[in-house]
Amino acid sequence: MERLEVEREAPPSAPAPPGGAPEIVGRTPWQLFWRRFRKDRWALGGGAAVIVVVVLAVVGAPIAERLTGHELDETYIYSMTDEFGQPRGPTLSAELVPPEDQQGGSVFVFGADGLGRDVLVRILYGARTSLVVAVFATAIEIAIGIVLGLISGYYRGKIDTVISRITDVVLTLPVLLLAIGVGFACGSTKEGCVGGLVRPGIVLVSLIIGLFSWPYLSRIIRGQVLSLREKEFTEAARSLGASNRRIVFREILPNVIAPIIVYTTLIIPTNILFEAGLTFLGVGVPPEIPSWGRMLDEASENFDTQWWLMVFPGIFLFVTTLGFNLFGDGLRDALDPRSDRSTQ
Amino acid sequence: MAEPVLEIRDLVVHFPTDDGIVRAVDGVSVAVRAGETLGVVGESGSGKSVTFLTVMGLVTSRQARISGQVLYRGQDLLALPPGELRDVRGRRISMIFQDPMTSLHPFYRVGAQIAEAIRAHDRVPKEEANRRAVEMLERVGIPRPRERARQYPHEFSGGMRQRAMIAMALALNPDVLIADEPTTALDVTVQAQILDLINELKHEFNTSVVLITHDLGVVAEHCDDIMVMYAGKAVEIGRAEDIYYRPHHPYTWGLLSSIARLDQARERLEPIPGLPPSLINVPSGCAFHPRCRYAFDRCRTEVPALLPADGFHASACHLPLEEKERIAREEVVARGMSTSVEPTVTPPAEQATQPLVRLRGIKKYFPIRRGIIFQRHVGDVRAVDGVDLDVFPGETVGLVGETGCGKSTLARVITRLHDVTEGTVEFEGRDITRLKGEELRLIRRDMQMVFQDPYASLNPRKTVGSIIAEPFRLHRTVPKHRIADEVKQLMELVGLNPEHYNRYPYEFSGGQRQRIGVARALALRPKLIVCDEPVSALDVSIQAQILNLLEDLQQEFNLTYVFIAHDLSVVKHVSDRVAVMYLGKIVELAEGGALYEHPRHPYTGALLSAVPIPDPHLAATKRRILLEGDVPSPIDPPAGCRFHPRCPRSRALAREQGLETDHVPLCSQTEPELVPQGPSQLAACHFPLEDRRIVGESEA
Repeated sequence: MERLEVEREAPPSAPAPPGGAPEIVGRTPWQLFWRRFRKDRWALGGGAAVIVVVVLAVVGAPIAERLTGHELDETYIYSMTDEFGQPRGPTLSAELVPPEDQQGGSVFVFGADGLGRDVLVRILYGARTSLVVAVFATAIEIAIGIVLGLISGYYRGKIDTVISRITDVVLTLPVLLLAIGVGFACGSTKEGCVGGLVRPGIVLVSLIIGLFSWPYLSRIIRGQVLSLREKEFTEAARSLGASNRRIVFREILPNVIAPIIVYTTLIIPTNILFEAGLTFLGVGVPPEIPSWGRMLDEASENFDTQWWLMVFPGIFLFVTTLGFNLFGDGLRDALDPRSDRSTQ
Repeated sequence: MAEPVLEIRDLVVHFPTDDGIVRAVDGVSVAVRAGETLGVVGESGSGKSVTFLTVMGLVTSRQARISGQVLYRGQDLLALPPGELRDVRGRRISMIFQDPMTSLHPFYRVGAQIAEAIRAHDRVPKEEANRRAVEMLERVGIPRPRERARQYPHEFSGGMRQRAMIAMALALNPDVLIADEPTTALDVTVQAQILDLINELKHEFNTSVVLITHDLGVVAEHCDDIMVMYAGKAVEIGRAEDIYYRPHHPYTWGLLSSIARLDQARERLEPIPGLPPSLINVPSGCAFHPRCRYAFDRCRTEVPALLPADGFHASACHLPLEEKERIAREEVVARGMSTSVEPTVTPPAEQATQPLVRLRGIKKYFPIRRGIIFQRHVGDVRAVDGVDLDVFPGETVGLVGETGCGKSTLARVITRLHDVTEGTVEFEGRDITRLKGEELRLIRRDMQMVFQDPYASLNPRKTVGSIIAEPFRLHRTVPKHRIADEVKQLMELVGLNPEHYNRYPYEFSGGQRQRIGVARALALRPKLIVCDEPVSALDVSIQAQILNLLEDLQQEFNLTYVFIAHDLSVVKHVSDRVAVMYLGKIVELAEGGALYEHPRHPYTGALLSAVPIPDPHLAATKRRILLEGDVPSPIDPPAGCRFHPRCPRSRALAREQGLETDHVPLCSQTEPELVPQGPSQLAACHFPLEDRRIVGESEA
């Protein structure tokens, strides 16, 4: 079909008609993207949710600590657990019995856990863990994925064969089993593994996640590059005398940025869940670090009576992942369909 | 004149968008007469496709505001409920589209798709539908239709797919066939076949045809009525002779004089200046006035009505009738008449100067491999298979041939984008066949390329300024702080507004993008520019602008061009010498005029005869050599002369000599050499066409 697309520019020989008709101005791809994106309420909501969670994690955690007067690891074991050692639920006026407890506030909005710690404070600090692991793991994933994807897509041939087969192998590994194995081997003692080089903690979890999930991104990029390298503009760059490296990074990479951004926003929630899952299984971040996964794990024992232990971390996990997913979907819709007008 | 079958009255189609209302169709009235062909002509974005998509009820955008009437045998299609409209669509009015590559479903067998179309309207058993599908394939000239019906679209060539589409469209014997640029994506030889086929079937089935195209040349031979559209309006309607011999609208004049014509001397084209307007911001008064040489005050304020001049012929222009007649007679049609006087093109002093590019024995094979890990070499695509060619400084060498003849590969061999399989490439006497690294980079300064697809050849993520600046950054021929100035100068040189420096490619039209490509190629002041189909993706009126630009630049900078195109009229227009390629070989090489006056190779003759001429009378007298079938596969080219299976001459000679074989044994066994035929002409043929044989005179 003929293009219905509107020329976004008045032809040079045709001056804008008199009478103050609005001139159609040229827009940058960013402006076009924003015009589309801001119409997508779900995506905006998702973006807002993400921002709220990030702000809560960065600023909200210490503020909550200050407001409630409950420190992260402070245990109100006498006030907030009953005579059977079971935690007490959300309350605005806890009876703080022992004198050492009375320095803290009496408000436990989300209740307390089995050690009498404030669930709200732990959730907010847990958000930090989740976000840091997600960002680290995603960064590792993207770095490996981009480099290998670009190389195998651009050079093709033997290099591509080798990289693609490695990708296949990594994809066939039972990730969860391996992650549990590695996590157990390296995370069960403080000394870690490989002679103490890898110690349990956030870095280890990020590495486990990152090193097993890059093949998805690398495949996406490889596919894109395979088609981009055949476009005439790469040929044009070559005929001008541009080196392979320059073509890959200056000509091709900018064209795969959009899918990378979209993919990133979509794997961050996956990685948050992955971390929570690993910690839930006991091979994630060590016990001293607050984590949603661990909180959910602990809550699973008595969740029929101590519902708050599961509901509140669960809501946070849900809202965060949903927010990222909605935001990512919106980004994809706004970036993908027409922003690349070269393909019609 | 016959009764109208389909009548469009005051059709308006508006699409509201974020930027304003797109007035795609703005009050069009036209009639399609029984058994006749209506040509609809205009540039991209003139509303010609939308008009007929609306007729078909295929404008499904919910926002679209449609008003007016589409009367099919007195029934208003726009008012029909979808169910009844579906019954009309396909059965009474059917459509074929531009791109045969995408309009057939890749998943189903061709025969099944046609049968499905039949069964959508007629309750017939499957076997019956299949039988009719095979019958239709045979009708549209597909050999071995029974076998072909069981194949998938990817096993069909472009021309065959378009035939299959036509078979599908005509399967239910509709009253009206709408063909939307049916040949734009095809080679000339195939284009001629398809247009002839549509014409034949029109008579056979007594169908009315609507032929939508941007090229006035294409419709000359087959149309009874022609409507010229501009900015959503009909600006001129008339019988074909009216449009070609007494055109009344300046836009029609522009379209006629921007066509590079095969039957005319190599004179400068007169493009329509500027660009088609945005359909959101249609200029006030006559929409064409900003691009019109004859515009006066009234044109800027008052919209001209489509007024009949004499009977049926009508145009929407404020110029007085006598004036229109005079201009048409003296300036437009007269120009077309000054034919056949070949200007004395001074051939470059070939022996005196050293060639800029010297190709010897060039072969380029692309290996075909099978297997996943251990890739076996199972064959080669012989894209270029033994080419010798010299290109002298300051001349333009044209390369023509059908799709798959190897012309683009040859271009990439010259510019060292492809490594050769065999042979040598010399540039200024220096062997550059195996240059590598820094040396290759330096030689690239002197040879640049302009690419075919103005949409794919510019990186969509970079601004125009940085695209044109790239060669400066790579070769550091200009100090950093001066790059911006240089780029702006280049933009001005190629006719772009330097203020658009920071814009992105998608903000430009096809023609403007091609100018960007030219500016980039010109940045390093190369000696040689290889143009790979630089205008084939553009509208005719815009083609003329780019061709003129290339000519001006050649004179200003003493450039040498290798100009590749499948359009012979364009090649003829720009080239000093022309090389005709077929299946990886040059079959004829001659000085431009000579080649067109007396082609020696039967293939050249056939190509020339297939080119449409924008002149109905001339076109009617011209006889065509129709080539049968498609170009054979370059994986396994025919033995002997590669052209012999399709060669009408070899076939005729075999018949004359009473041979039992289809072809003369010499042709089917021995490969002819490229040898001199006359003073400045080389041809590779055992039985070259004789002298003074007029283009298009058939052999048999």
